[in-house]
Amino acid sequence: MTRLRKEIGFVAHLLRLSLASNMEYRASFLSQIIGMFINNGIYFVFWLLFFDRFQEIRGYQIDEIFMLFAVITLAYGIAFTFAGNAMDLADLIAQGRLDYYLALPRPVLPHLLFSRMGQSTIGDLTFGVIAYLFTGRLDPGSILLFVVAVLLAAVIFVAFTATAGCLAFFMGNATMLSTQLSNALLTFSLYPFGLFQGVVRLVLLTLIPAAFVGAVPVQVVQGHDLGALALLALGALVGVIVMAVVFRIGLRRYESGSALNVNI
Amino acid sequence: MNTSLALPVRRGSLRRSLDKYVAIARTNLQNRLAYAWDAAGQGIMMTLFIFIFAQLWRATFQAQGAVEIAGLTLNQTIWYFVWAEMLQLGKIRHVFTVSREVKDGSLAYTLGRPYNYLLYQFASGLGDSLVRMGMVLVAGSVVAWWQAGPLISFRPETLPLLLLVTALAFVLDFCVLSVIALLSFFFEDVHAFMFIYHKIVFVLGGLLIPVDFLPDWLQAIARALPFSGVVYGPSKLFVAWDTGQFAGIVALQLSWIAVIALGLVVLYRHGMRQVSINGG
Repeated sequence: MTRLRKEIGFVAHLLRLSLASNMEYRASFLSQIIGMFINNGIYFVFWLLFFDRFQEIRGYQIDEIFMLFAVITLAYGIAFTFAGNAMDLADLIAQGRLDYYLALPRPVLPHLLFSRMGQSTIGDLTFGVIAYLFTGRLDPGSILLFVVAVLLAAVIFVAFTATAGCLAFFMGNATMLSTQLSNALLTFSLYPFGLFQGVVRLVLLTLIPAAFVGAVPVQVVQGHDLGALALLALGALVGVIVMAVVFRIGLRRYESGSALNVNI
Repeated sequence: MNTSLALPVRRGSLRRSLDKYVAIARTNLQNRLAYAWDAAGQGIMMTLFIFIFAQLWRATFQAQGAVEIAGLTLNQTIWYFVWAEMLQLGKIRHVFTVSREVKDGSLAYTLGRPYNYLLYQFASGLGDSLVRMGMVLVAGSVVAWWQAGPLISFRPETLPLLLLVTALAFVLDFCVLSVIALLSFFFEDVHAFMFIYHKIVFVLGGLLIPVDFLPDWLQAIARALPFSGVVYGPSKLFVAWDTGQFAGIVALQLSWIAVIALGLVVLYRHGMRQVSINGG
């Protein structure tokens, strides 16, 4: 327990340093946040135009899209604001830049994931909060379920992205593939789950767990569905275990590139 | 030090100058093919993306009970996205390379080399792009054929002109992305600019929804902006060839390439004035 508290303190310290580093370039920091906010807004416009013309698709109307966007953007924002290196993991492995982390007396994976804070993802985070306000579900029960579901979805985002990044241990240059996998998770999750049937539905609940970062959290909040919440928690736990195991196995295959890197 | 954006004047012929960039493209193509697994992985992902679009538009056509929406059948709409995704995923990915080189100063080392910096980036990314476009086209076609059958409306005799309009779309996109990359001279991180550009292409460029499906007022705006020349134009001509529309799209692409390339030259020269080289 003392060890766990110590490691959490260490991660909190890393985050404080990353935030201070980001804030050093305030104009850039703010432009990134505003930029990402606009970015999400433009994407949301697609759905407004779509439902303006076609009204309803397989039970989804614009209200469901509001909730879907609130959950996904906030979860994505939390995930990669705090674990900014998860998205760069394949690149770091391929370039032999894990040496720095391996030489220090701290658990490698958490140190690696949390040692960089995302900038533009704070815009996602903000967008998610505002999108939730538009859903009109402002009673304490819904808010509590929303927060818990979003945190679990954020864990799944990080676990999946980091696991995809670990493919670089086995394939060499897996930067593009891991990016595509992360994009696939995000893209699939942003579409109404009712579009998908049969095997694809199964894939979206397992290999590319898009349902766990989109449809399931939406079901938790809109239906106050505790069964769905338990399923979501199980999904997050499995995601973290898979990430840790794949990283551990992959690390045995890691070869240093003898590259000189300076980490500031 | 020559910091001009113009092609370097050399004693050899134009062909020798071009050979240099062809060699760069070939080297990077070979490099890319060495990581076949990574490229194949993108092909697999592509099948998933086309599959999503097929499901969305199938459900939409069913819900509307329509055979055609804005002049496009379901078959044409699904195949439209194959070409659109090929263009989107095949684009040259030099933004973060340029951005990194500007920020860490390594740009200064490349300026002394006997090539034009941006043409180098174009040639370097071309090999990689060709592999990705090939993968996307093959994988996407398999899914589209499976979901909607062959593209009945395709006219093989228009292929050379279709390739021309596709190449212009590629160059136009490169110019826009290069402007974003060079903004690194002024901004610490250009991620947001690139994301915004991508998302504008999603909507106004016709990547997520063909421009014909947009409300009339928005169509008029989209058709005048460069984004529709990047994705919508070539993709629409692929599924529904129209000679009049071809001429309009090429004119739009050439006009915007001229305007953006001019902006690129100004930006590059302005940015280069800020580069200072200390020591060796």
